[in-house]
Order: sequence, then structure tokens, then C-alpha cells
Amino acid sequence: MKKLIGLCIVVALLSTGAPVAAKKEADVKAPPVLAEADRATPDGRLVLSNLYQREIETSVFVDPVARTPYGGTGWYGGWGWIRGIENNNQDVIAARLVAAAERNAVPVRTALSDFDTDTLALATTKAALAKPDWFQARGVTGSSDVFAISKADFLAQNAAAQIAFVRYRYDLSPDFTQIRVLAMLSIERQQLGKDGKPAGQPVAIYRQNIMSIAQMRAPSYEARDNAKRWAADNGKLAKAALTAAFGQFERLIPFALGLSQAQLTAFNDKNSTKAFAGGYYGTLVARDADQPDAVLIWKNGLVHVQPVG
Amino acid sequence: MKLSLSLAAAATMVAALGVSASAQETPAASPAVEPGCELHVFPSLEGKAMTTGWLSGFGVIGAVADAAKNKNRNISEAEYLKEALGPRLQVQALKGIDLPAQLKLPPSKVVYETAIADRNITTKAATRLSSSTAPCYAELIVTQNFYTKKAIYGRSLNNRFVFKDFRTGKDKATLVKGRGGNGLSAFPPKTTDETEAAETDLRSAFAKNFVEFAKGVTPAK
Repeated sequence: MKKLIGLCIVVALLSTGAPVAAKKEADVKAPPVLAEADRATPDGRLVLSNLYQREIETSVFVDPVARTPYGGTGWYGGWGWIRGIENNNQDVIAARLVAAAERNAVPVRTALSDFDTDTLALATTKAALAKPDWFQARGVTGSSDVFAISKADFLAQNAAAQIAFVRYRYDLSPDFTQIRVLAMLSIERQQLGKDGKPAGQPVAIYRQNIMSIAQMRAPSYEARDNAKRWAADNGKLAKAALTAAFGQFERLIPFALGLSQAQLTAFNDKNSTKAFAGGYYGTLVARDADQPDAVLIWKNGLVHVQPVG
Repeated sequence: MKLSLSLAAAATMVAALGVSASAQETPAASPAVEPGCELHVFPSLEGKAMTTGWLSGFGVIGAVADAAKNKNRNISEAEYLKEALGPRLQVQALKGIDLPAQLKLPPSKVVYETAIADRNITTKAATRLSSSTAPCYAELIVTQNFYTKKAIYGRSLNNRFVFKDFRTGKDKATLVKGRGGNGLSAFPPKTTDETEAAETDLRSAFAKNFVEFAKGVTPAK
């Protein structure tokens, strides 16, 4: 049960707001804009591209449980007890939702079992980082197992002025109407000793999260039915969604890396033009010229939503 | 066991109804003429349940005892409510009502959208929540599904709604918020035999709650 609740917290974090969700990754504060002085790197950058998972993850929507007027945390001891009971109710409901989502995901996972997401992720990183002239990716190392090449090992083995990390996660939305891919970008400046070897902790100089969502056209209100649609015909739609969602990063990653402080300020302006897409509400950045239903918004990071199917 | 059986029955019934989300269009006016106006409806994913007994009348100690006593009931009834009045069934209930007429709108094409989980969006966002650019456009959002059972007042279903009328031509609409609450006589069912009656009761209360809310809605000026 504890394991389930733990998993539930993870998926809840993922589901509550993609770019926001990866806050845990951003323990070290780093700006979402790369300073002009940090762009040029004579020796180029090393890149580590990670895909954190073996199969598509699930997420759940856990709405707050009903609370009694007594459920506060006042000095009256009883209030805390009630809050404890209510919080436990929420945990029980969350655990059951996680179990149901895991059951519903089985056909999608089976259909995607022969789909090489690792290769797709690595190819996406390479294609995306080749686009900005100034980026100068010296080499892109891919790993589908975070433990096979840990960040610490990678840093210890590789000397470069800057190292870029592109980490991906992908999941199904709680209602199974979307396949979402989250890319977590970060760039760190390595401290090099006199001998040219890494010395000391690297400094994070850039961090941004991008969400790319493939949304099923005319979905059902039932997650089970949507799962069947993703999985039908050997996962044709799920594979197309993943390909489309990863494909967007080829232009979103260069766009995110090139953002200026002025653009960011405009995106965060509370009077900016807003748009709703894929469950997110944020500043409208652009509507795709080739498909009017596809939209790019800014909600603490870039969120791109495109219809599939 | 009874409850799980009735859940299964509800699921079967739900599957049989076969309503799909997003871009589900229902012309509310004469089918011969396509209405120029659009009403986009967003059902709710929410399902909350709260049973309180006489003990809650005895201060904090009583409330603690009440919360502990009704813990499992609150969980199972919230889960049941999500099944029996999930987005698909809300849409089913609303399809039985002339929504544009109730909301004092001209004949409109009713489009059922995917439910939105984030309450900050459903209760605060003043702009359109769909990509439609129709000049005659309105939104109806269900923001709460709440079953309560109280010692004095008995069982009831409470719903909250938000109505946004964009016919003024502005990008942002005023959020008209309101609620409806009606008593329940057959929900939740005690045995599987009562499942159908209970769910009809629930959806009927939901429809009445909407009509109650719609009475207070005035067209945007």
C-alpha cells in the first residue's frame, strides 16, 4: 500500500502540471534563459540524453476529498485527527485510482512493447540540438537507464566547459485522452581544475521544462475506451502520438534554448493573451500554421498541444 | 460486496450509453438549420461525498468520532459518485435538457468537451476554453459534484456551475457562478436491485440542479 501511495504521489506530481511537475528536478535554482555570455563555448558542449523509463507511465487526477468544517489544524487536538482521517481518505482513493490506471494501461503498454522510444528520444535530442548554430553539441550520449550512466559518473568521466542534459518522461493523462512527453533541459557549467579535469560541483546555468502533448481527437469519457483506441492495430495511434510528440521537440528545444529575457517577461505578463490547451491555461505563444488546433502556450514552461487520430 | 456489485452494474450501464467526449455536437434547434451560436459544455471529474451523523453536533470530539465512523462510507460513496455521475453520465443527463433555452441563449449548437481537472482554470479563467472563434459563443462548466448526507437534512446532491457568455464580443467573459442542490431519495442504493433507480435519481437531481442554476443566469449585456 505504501508503495502504491508513493507511486501515486509521483504520478500526481506529473499530472498536476507538466513543466511545474518537474520542480523536484530543479532542486538547484537555474534561470530559464541562457545568458548571452554562456552561449559561446569554444570547445562545444557535451550532451547526456536520458529516457527515464521502460514503459509508458500513468497519472491520476485526485480531487480534494470533502472536508468537514472541523478539519482544520487549530489548537484543538481533534481538528488534526479529522484532517488525518480526511487525508487518509484521499490516499485510499488515490491508491485505487492508481491501480485502475495501471489496469487500463495494460493494452497500451503491450502495444508499445515493440516501439523503440529510446532511439526516438536520442534521435530527437540530436536533431533538436543540431539546429541552433551556437549550441555546438560535441557529442550526444544516450541512456535509457539512469543508473547505467549517472550524472555524477558522466561528469567525472567527461571534461567540458558546459554539459547539457535532456531528460524525458512520457505518460498517459489521467483520462487517457493524451500521451504527454516532458523534456527537462538543463545546462551546467563545469568547474575545471588546472589539469583540465572536473573539480568541484558544476553550476547550473540554465533549466527549462517543455511539455509536448498529443491529444486524441474525439475521445471517450471513459479511460478504458481511450486505452483501447491507443492500443488498436498494434498501437498505431499511440505510436503516432509518441512520434508526433517527440517530433515537436525538434523545434521546441531550439526555441526554448533561444528564449530571451524579454520574451520570458512577456510570457509571464499577467495581461498577456491567454489560451487553454490540453488541460493547461497559459500565455498564448503561437498557433501552428499547418494545423489550427495545435497550440503552443507558456505555463511555467512551454506546452505544445496537438491533436492526433 | 453490494457496493462493488452495483459499481459493476453502473459500469455496464455507463458503457452501454456510449457517449464520447470532445467535439460531441448536439444541435439544440431545428436540425434543418445549423445554429450560428455555440454552447460548449465542460463536465466535471469531481466526485465528493460526506456523511455526517448526530455525533457532529457534539463538538470536536463528536466530529472526530463521526469522521472515523463514516470514513469507509465517504470513500466508497465518493468513488461511486464518480462512476455514477462521471463526465459521461453528466453529459447524458444534460442531453435531456434544452440547455440554450434554459440559459436564455438563442438556438445553439451544443458541443460537449473533455472535462477539465484544474479548478483554477474552471473557476477563474475568463477567456474561451475551446479553440472556437464563433462570435456567438458561450460556455457552461460543471465545477462540483457533491453528495452529502446529514442527520437533519438527509441526502442531497449539490452541484456548482459556471456560465460564460461571450456574445458581447469581448475576449473575456464574466464568470457567472452558482449552484443547485436537490434531495435524493434512492441514492446511494442499498442493494444491486436498486442501482438503476438510484442512478436515475442521481441524474435527475443533477438535471434539476442545473435548471435551478440556470434560473439565476441573465444574458450578458
